[in-house]
Parts: sequence; C-alpha cells; structure tokens
Amino acid sequence: MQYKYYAIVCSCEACKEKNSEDLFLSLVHEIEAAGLKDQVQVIKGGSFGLAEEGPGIKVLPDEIVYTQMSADKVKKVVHEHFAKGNIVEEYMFDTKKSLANVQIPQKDFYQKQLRIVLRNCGLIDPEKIDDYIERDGYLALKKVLTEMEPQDVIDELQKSGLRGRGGAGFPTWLKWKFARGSENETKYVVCNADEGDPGAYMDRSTLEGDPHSILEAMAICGYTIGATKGCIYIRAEYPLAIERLNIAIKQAKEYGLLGENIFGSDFSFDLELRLGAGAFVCGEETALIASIEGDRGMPRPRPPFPAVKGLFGKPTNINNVETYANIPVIMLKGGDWYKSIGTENSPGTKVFALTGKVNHCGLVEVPMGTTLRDVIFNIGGGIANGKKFKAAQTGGPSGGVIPPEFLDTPIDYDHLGKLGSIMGSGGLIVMDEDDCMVDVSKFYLQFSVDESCGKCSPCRIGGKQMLDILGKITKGNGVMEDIDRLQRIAEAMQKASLCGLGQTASNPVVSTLKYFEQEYLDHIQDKKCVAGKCRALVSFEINADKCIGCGICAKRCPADAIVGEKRKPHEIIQAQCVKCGECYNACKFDAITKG
Amino acid sequence: MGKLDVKDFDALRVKVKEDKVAEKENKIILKVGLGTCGLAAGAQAAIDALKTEIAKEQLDNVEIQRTSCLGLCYCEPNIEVFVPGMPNVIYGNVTPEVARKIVVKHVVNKKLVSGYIFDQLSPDIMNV
Repeated sequence: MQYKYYAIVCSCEACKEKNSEDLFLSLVHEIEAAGLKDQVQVIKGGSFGLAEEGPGIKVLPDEIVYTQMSADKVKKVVHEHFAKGNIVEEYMFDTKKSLANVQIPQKDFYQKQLRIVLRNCGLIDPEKIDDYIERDGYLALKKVLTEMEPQDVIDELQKSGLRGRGGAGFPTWLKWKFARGSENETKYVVCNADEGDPGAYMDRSTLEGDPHSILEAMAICGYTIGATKGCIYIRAEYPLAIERLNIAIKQAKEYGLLGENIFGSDFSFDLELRLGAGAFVCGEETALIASIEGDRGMPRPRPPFPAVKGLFGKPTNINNVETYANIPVIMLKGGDWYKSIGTENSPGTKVFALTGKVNHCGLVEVPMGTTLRDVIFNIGGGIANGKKFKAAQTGGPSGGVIPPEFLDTPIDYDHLGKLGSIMGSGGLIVMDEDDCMVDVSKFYLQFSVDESCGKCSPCRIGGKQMLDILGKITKGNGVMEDIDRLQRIAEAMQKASLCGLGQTASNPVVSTLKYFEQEYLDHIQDKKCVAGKCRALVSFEINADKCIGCGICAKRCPADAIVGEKRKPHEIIQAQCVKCGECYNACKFDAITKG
Repeated sequence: MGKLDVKDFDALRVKVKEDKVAEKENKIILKVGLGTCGLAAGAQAAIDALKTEIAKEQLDNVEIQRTSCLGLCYCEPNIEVFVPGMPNVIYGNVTPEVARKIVVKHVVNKKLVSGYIFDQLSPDIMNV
C-alpha cells in the first residue's frame, strides 16, 4: 500500500534537543485527527543536517523541508499541505539566509554541500563504464577532441580559475600552459594519488567511486599539452581504488576511449598505474617522479620544474586527483560556470575529510567561502558528546590549527593562509577540550620526522631537534628557552629545507604556539596538562568524600594500583599508576579527579 | 561492443540514458555503498541479509547494485532504495536486521522504515 506523502521528522542530536520527539508525536496525532492516516506515513529520520534550523520535517515526494517546526505549526502543515496540497511557504527553509556569502548559480536548495568532484560518487557503479557514460562521462573528451584546440582548453581553464587541489593551489591553466609550451616529442601526464596526510581520504573515495573521471581528465590533459602517455602514481595502501582503476582502464580501452586514435582522431593516449610503497614524501612531485623512475623517493631542487623537465627528464604535468576530477565538468559546463562558484580568488569547491570530535564525520564537498562554522556545526552536526570546540586542524602535517575566534572565517586559500594554516589536501580534524595542543603538534612533528627522506640537513636535523624539545615539554622537563628554540629552528626549516615536507613540518608547532601559547607555558612552568593528555603531567586521585568503595576502579586498574576495603574509600598508589585513565572512565560516582 | 567512433558513442549515450529511465520506472533497486568506508562498517553483511530476505520473500524484480562512498561516512553502511512510485530514500546504519526490514517493510509493503533515513547531501549538479 503506497502513501501519498511521507513526512520524515529529523532526529539528529540537535533536533532531539529541541524536542523532535514531541514534534513527531504531535504530527502523528494531527494526521490521525484529520483522517489522513492512510495517506501520510510519519516516520523518524536519522538526520537531515538542519542543525540550528531544526527541528525539521522533510516531506516526500515533494522534497519540501519545513524548519523550526513546533506542535502548533504542525497543524497548519497537516491541514494545508497534506489535506489540500498547498505547500506552506512561510515554514520552508530560507535558502537566502544560509547561502548568503557564497556564490552559487542555483540557489533554491537547502543543502550546504555542492558535489562537483564527487558528482558521481554514490550514484554510479564505479565498475560499470556504461553508468559513467550515462552521466555524461567521456562527453567532455569527445567535445575537446572534436570541437576544441589545445589552446581553447587552456583558455577555458583560465576562465574557470581552477587552482591545484593538492595543497599548494597553483593555477591549473598555467601549469598546463607551461607543459604545453615545452618543446619535446615525448611528454607525460601524471596523477598524484599518493594521498599521504593522516586522516585524509578524499582522493581514495574519488578513485573508488568515479575512477573514469580521472582517466578522462588525464586524456584531456594529454591532448592539451601534447602527451600520449600517462601514469597514475597511487599508494599501495589503497587496494580497492587500485582494483577499480584497473577495471576502468580495461573498460576504457575496450571502448577505444583510451589507446590509439581516440574517437577516430589523431590523438592517442594510454596510461598505467604505478604503486607507491608507503613513503609520505613521495607525494611531493619531484620525489614522486624519482620513485616512478625507480630511484629512492627524494626531492630535487626546482627549477627546473616538472613542466620543463619532469619524468625521465621530459616535460610532465602533475596534478592531484581532485584537480583532475574537476576537468570534465569544466569542459562541459564552461569555465564561467565554475568561476561563479566559490570566492573571487578560490573558485569552485573543495572536498574535506571531516573527522575528529564531530557527530557527523564524513567526506564533505562545499563551495569555497563556506565558513568553518557551517562545516563543523551544520554539516558536521556539532561537537560530539556535548564537549566544547577547541580547534580545527587543516592541512595535515603541513597545516595549522584554527581556534574558536576564527570559526566564521570563509574557507579558501587566502583566508586560511592569513591565519597561519593552509588548505592542504583537505584534511579537517576537529578537536575538543580533551585534546592537548602541545601533544597535537608533537604528533604531527613525529609523523614528519618519520617520513623525512633525510636528504637535506634543515629537515633531517631540525625536525628531530624540535621533536626532542616537544618530548621534553610533554614529560614535564621543559624550560622557557625551549619556546624560543622551537621558533628559531622552525624558521630555519621553513627557509632552508629542500622540499615542502621540511618547509612545512614546523607549521603545526608554530601555529599552536601562536594561538595556544598558554598551554605551552602550563606545561613548562606549572608542569600541568590542562587537557589531561600528557601522561607524565596528569595524576589521578580518589576523592575520599565521594568514593563509596564499590571497587570497580580497582578491578579495572591494569597496574593493580588501587587499594581499599569494600565500602570504604579507596586510594591510588601514585608510584604504581600508569595514568591510563581507566579508573576515571569507570567511576560512576565522579569520585576520581584528573589533573 | 568494440571501439567506439563518434557515431557509436552518441548512439551508446542515447541507449544507456533510455535504459536508465526504463530501469527507474520498472525495477526495484537497492544500491549499496561499497567503498572502503562501507565495507569496513559491514556493508557485506547487509548485502547478505538483503539477499537472504529477497530469496525468502521470493521477489524476482529486485536488483542489488553496487556504488561507492555516498559521503555519509558517519552512518555507514548505506543503502539507497528505489521503488517505482515511491520517493527514493537513503538508509544509514544498516545492520542485517535493518536490511531485512527494508525488504519486508519498504520493498514489499511500501512503507518507509523509521529511524534510519538520511538526507541527500547535495543537489545533483549534472541535473541542475
């Protein structure tokens, strides 16, 4: 039995706090009272991402979203919309309000995301080339080969304003222009799918969900710069993406969309995969090239840039997966369309891997210019477990932290740069009051030190020295001079390292020092870790007034460090305590303090 | 099908688009998110439960299709359900039990399953 309408009441955390349960019950009641039980199914949703606009009701199949609903508003919806088919416009989501500072061509939708890079992910079967073709796949390649000259492609890219999405944000049209301008019979197109930032999986999802978009884009690039061979350098830790890419390449070849004389033109293009072997530094373009050539992944000085002298010494265009994923759409819809989205200096969208202490982790694609607040509190559903937002880390090991006072910053290359962070490849890690900023900077620096290739002294020695200092500070052995030392080594690494890894490895430290200097001072002067993360500086104690002697903490303690008789206050033997925090988590009477 | 020239490609485009329209009007489709995120969250168990229930109910016009990450990573496994005549919905947190309910309640009895519906994250830019 089919219903005429389906009314879905959002039940996310934010809406639950605003009594979505009562809303649900009153809606059910009103529908029954109006005799519409057989025409309208009322159900609870999981989440509709309405955040501060909730509690909300979505009506299908009309695709109408009513926001800020209440029991009395429900009556009107039932009598007007469900009984008579008249949509109640005054309760509808006001798109003008939410998209106020973002340029988007089509304004009458309520979602904050705009999936361009991820346009096919979740919609097509990535292992069926016909699915991709049904979604206008390879139409851009056909248009380019039959209606456009290479210069036309570059002009369109220039109009679009697309900037490299790997992190540096270099104008893509300029990169392609340089490669096109280099005179050589042999040229290469390379895709950087090494995605090494911890917590980043944007490229993985794009490759697993829409592999053909990258193949098409690389063929378009080959035509534009004069290359007939391409290579996708992908990290071996992505087996599913590798499998799907291989299937896609095979299918494209069967259809003649890769190989000799594509679409019967003079243009031939073939490509293959090369697997990385677990080195973060191979995400740096010159180290990546060295790796494909069979050498140890170590960067070399630039100039000459890969566009002039790249893979095997030939002119090479290297772009990130996400940059390529935008190309077919720009060719089909035009550079002007793309430029109208996002901000003046950062057109288009950006994919973020939103992770950390948010309720809704996931892959998020938003127009540039969307604020951090919208991403974290609206799309992300706010901070989990009722905690408070402390900082957002962007750009992975090369990036910095952004504290609460900058939550309304529009996300784009220039604004993030001004705050001392970078866009990076799109990792966005949200932190709450339980995260220690000194510990965070130590974590990222540890990663960079592990991944340093060792070729240049500033990175090899500087990174290790900074890490040692941070280690001292987190163990309670820091001194005030350490802060000055950290700043000076950071500056040396920034100025003198051979590649981006060394140049940016100190960013997390510099950024946390800038915005959270007090935490460093707490660690150094007071030997305290306010977040309770640095074990050496944390001690757990049982409050004898609150302890009822249930003994649960003692049972949980892995070090047998808690003693006491039944029903009498227990005690922690500090010398034996390993600071794991199990007792603190287990106590149901709030009798254990952490500090 | 062998190598396509421009004419073949245009003809193929027309055919696949027509097939897609026909599919939407006639077939019941359960699209399961099978990216690394979905697989890690248990999408395979959800698919197995779907298959078992479909066989039990002896439904012969239901097709399980594969897709990848829908972006709803926090509530994987995800299944998008297409039943002609009903609105398309995306289910999240699909355990084998929820998968069974989807077949029985949604596919057979044309009622949405309460508590598990999540929203499309973005308008479809290929169709705006």
